[in-house]
Amino acid sequence: MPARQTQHPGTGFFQDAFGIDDRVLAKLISESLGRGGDYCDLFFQEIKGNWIVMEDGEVNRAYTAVRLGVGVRVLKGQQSGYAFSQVLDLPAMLEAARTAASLAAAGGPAPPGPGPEVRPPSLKPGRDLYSCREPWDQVAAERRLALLRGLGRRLRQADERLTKTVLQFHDSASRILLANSDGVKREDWRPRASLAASCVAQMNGKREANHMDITARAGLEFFDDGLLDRLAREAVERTVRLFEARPVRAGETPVVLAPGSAGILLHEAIGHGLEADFNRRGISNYADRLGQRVADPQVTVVDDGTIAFSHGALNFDDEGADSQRTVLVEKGVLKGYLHDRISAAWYGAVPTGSGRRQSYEHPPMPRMRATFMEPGPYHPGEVLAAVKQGIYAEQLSNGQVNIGAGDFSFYVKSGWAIEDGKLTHPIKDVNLRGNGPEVLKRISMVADDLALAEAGFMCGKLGQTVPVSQGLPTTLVQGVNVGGTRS
Amino acid sequence: MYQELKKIAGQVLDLAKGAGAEAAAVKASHSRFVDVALRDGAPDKASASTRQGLSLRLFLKGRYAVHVTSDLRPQALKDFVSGAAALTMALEPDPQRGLPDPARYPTGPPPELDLFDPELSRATAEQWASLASHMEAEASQAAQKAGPPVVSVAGGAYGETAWGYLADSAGFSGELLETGGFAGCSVVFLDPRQDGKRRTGWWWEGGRQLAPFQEEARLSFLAAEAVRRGLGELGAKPGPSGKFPLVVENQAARQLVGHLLSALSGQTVHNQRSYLAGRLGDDIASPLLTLRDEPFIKGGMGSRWFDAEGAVSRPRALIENGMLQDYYLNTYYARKLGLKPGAGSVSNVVLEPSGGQDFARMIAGLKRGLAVTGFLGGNFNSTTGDFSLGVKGLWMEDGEAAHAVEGMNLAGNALDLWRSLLAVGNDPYPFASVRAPSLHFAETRLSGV
Repeated sequence: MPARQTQHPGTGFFQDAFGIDDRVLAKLISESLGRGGDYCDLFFQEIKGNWIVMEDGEVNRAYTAVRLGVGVRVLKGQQSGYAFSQVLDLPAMLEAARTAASLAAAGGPAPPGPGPEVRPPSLKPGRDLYSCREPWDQVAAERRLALLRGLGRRLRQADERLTKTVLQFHDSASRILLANSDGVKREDWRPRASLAASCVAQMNGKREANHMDITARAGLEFFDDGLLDRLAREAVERTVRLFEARPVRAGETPVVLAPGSAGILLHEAIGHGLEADFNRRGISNYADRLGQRVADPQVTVVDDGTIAFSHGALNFDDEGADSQRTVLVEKGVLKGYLHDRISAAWYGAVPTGSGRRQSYEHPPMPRMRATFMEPGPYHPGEVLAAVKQGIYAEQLSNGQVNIGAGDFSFYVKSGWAIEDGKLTHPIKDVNLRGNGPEVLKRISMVADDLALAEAGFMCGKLGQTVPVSQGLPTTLVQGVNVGGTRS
Repeated sequence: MYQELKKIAGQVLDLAKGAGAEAAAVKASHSRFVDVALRDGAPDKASASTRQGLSLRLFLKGRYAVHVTSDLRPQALKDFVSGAAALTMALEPDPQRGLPDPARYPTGPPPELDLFDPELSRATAEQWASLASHMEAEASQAAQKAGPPVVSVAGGAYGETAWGYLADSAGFSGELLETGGFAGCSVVFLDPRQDGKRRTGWWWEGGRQLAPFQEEARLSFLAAEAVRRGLGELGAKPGPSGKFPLVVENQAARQLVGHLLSALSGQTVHNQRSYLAGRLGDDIASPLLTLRDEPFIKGGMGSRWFDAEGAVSRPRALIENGMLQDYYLNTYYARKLGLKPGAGSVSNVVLEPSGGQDFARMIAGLKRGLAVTGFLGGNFNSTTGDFSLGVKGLWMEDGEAAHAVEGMNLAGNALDLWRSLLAVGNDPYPFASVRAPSLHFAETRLSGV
């Protein structure tokens, strides 16, 4: 898609509301480089969020949040200094610039003094991956409430075993202005919205609970009647199904990963290990494997920031680099890393648009966006038919990985037992664990039904959380360790 | 600056009343932090900033909402309150919402909690960087001497001064000024016995005062501990599957205690999401388990004299000799559940020791079982109490570590687990508000090879 000039609700915001024009940007950049830094960026952000809760049919609590500030990052060689200000007047911003400059210069002498002459940055247009019919701050509260009531109505008579429902609607919009000492300026407006249903059901004195959400970078129009129908139906179905669920036997077993949220496998087993900051330090177990065969030729793994409306979509990253589709594994061979500016410079590579941060309070680092496996040659039915005894993992969550050793673990929220190629009964309380490089080698069949998870996964790393997407086609892994309770 | 924020808080209370609120509470907060990291002999990242914000709990015509902002410009605050009021009015009334019962506010002067150290508050980025650099150099030297190839060594330090002020329309106001510092190292080895695997050891400690971090011996200990923990992971592999006893090290036991705390939360109980709902007075754990909320520990990381809604803090037993005594109940969830409000949220959590043993002594008594030093992923289902967790640690045979463990899984139900408690250590983890000690459990389901 060719880049084009876009008008979105972020355009000109910081200039209009706070007088941050090109002259101010140039002054701040100059101040930031005043202690000998080689590069700096300014990340202005305003985030407005709403969160409304409906409990047992009553919409009776809400939370709103406004966060505003500018983060200043200065790089000097390999060293970075960072400071932010929540006050957007010139003296406070200059103070943040001086702090970042002096932190980046720590350990080396650098005379304080006026910064270099800086030419004003010029606006660089980006993609348009998440335009909404109306910006969230123009959507009246009543229309958000109507969504919750619509979902509540659908759940009211869904199943007589339901004893409690908590429904939540969350929306936020982040306005961003980024300017750096390379003369680049970019503006964005990033929406995020999520509708979630938590259900508790009771049967024969036993209680079970489950949760489901659908989350996207989208506007109100995304949450149409069809989506509400499906969310209500599946949230209830996943809860009451747990009454039939049985524990599984612990040990190694074939696992069929369903399309969608099982993409967490890629996120944990390989994605984090390919973030270039871990590799630059040699601390990832993938640090010396570039160009090596790591999986069957059916396996192509991609991290893509350009999928419209996806949770991990970005028009440009938080350092101002264009978002892109990055191939991590191509036909089984390890191809590349996810770079931010620092790691790309270190490797002499081109930034992959993966420099992300939680907010203006944090410096960017290499992160995933939407991580998925390309479709393979099989039909989903063929994959299932190939398993004599195993488990079908449908909804996954709670992924975690130890980058150095490559060991990962994630939790199967809902799944089924497979016997003779057929789903027999639901299973519960199953944790899957394995080692990234080992599990990749055991992927033996990939189907043609790729889907991205609809749930709003948040990825945590070194104290920062960012929205991501993940996806997978139906995939057979020959042998994963299953932690169960049945002997 | 704090005076200025108090004034703004008062103005916001007035704006809320002007918007028709029958009651309101404002919390203003301000903090400054310094965060420095060094890696492999060179400065890596440093940041320092000031954070401030304000949150407004609004009770308006029987309706309730919470609004947070960091934009404190006068006009922005006016728009903030009018926007907050408009959204709140769109909700349905909830008669159980309200400020605490007047009798529950603190009376008399606040207790001395030793939470603030002027020296830590004044410490500069250079001072923290010099501590981190000293530790990093020591860790690097010790790691090189240890034998296995060293991939990377890092040191870091963090210091914060935080101020919080709560004021409400019933006339309560209270403030808390605290400092906190953290310092530690991490060391990454290449495992000579397992191709390509990196083994990371790390250790961080925290405290309220600067001086203990400046002691040479403390910094050497932090460096040595990171190296020791990294070496302890070399050659890690799963142990056998079956039912075995466990000893969970204090810093890891925080996770298990955390699961228990989530089931004790009034909100979780009200939402029918707690396996402990409806069990007040029941034996829900071994008689060895006594769990208290202790707000007044001097220098404690969760110490305070009033809670999030301004109600006075008091020591309180939640589980006594295995019997469930109380939940964490604020005004709202107490009303919802028809119970008396008490500790609205966690301050410091303390488990009474059952004997005189720490982790080292407890694992020395393990004939055959697992010493858990960490968890990896997994899940705790608070509704049913079922859990399934990845674990790492040491496989113990006759009181000796036979090999390091990774890739094992622990699964069961929280009721069974806590009923199987055999000993509570005398080594509470002092660097967090949940001061978990090491815990010894009887037969637990482990899956490995």
